Amino acid sequence: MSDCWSEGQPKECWSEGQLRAYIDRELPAEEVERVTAHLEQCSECGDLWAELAGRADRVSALMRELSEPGPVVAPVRKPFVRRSVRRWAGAAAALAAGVMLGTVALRKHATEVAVAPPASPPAVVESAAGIPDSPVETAHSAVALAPARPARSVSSRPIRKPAASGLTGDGPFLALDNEPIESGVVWRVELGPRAVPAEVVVDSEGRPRAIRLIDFKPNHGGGK
Amino acid sequence: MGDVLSSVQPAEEFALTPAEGSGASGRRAAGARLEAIFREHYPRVVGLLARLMGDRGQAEEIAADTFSKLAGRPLLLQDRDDCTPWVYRVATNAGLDAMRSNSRRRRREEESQAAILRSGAPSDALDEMLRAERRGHVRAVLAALKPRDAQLLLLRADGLAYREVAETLGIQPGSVGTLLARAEAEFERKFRARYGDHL
Repeated sequence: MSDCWSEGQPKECWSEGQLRAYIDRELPAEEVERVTAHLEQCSECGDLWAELAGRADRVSALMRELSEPGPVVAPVRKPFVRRSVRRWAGAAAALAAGVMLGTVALRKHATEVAVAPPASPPAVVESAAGIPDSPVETAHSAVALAPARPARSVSSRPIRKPAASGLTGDGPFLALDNEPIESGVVWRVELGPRAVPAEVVVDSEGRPRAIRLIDFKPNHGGGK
Repeated sequence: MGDVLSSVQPAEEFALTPAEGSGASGRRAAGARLEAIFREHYPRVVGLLARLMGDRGQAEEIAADTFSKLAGRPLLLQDRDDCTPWVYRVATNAGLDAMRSNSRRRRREEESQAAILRSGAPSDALDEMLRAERRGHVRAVLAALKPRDAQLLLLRADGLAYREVAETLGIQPGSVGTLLARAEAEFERKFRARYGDHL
């Protein structure tokens, strides 16, 4: 800060550095007020301020040209791991949503679902989209699907008491949508607080496509 | 972080002469400090160099090289206040050196871009080419500045507050405004001298 004289009165003029800091809001609050008041009456400082502010804008606009679109990340290979975990988490979330949908559908339409006889078990789940829709909502129409690994699913968790026949154990899967399923894998999952075991057909994109409960007792939900 | 750290970390067995280190505990402390500085500053150093050079791979190489040099400076590592400015200074200087030795390649690229511009290209590509050309100009001017001026502009463009800029460069917080104003004036002067008034 230097003292200038104006109409016989001393006035405080601010240095280039202080004005530059003022432009960047980097001055202490009390100095900001003084600079603001001073700029209103001192044309020299006003001119300097305008010059500095204009140049700061132009230079920072040019510097912004260099900024990269992506965030700066340390050269870690972990992001890849994290990304894949996230993808699986997404698939799991989608699966959970689909499973809940499937459960609701089963509870509502358990008695209405048209059950097709299970096909001979191939290695990969095959589409049976040719089967005509049942009279219930098309979204819940039944599709005959053979489980990918029927032996494992049955032997690892023996069926205690099959309830609604056709929906449990070796029964066909219930499609969760009405698109044909070309291929997929069967996941063993447990549903809800009662941990009802079920098998879900998940397609190559991780979307749940069909479901089958393994030990389903529709009228047991009220309490034990 | 593991990969680079393990390549950098030889701090432990590095050139610690008995006169410099004070035994195993001193070496451990130096290793820990190196890791802390690495974690805090490596991404920013890479970002700064990538913007300066326009080549992320080379930026990472130079940053890793800088930290491995730091690992070989146990005395420097003892004082954290000193070694942050050291890291930025060494990294920026190495980046500027690499840019100067790249300058022939860069000029060739600029010429080929100019040829495409003259031949007339679709507007998106044209736009991108103009921006690439401007980036090249900004980098060329930064490389022509004093290293500290280039650092100031890069750190400020990175959004660092004056206090952080001062810590990073080892200067007084009160002088950041003055130095920044001078660096900007110098940048603009050099830019105009090379590329005309078109800022």
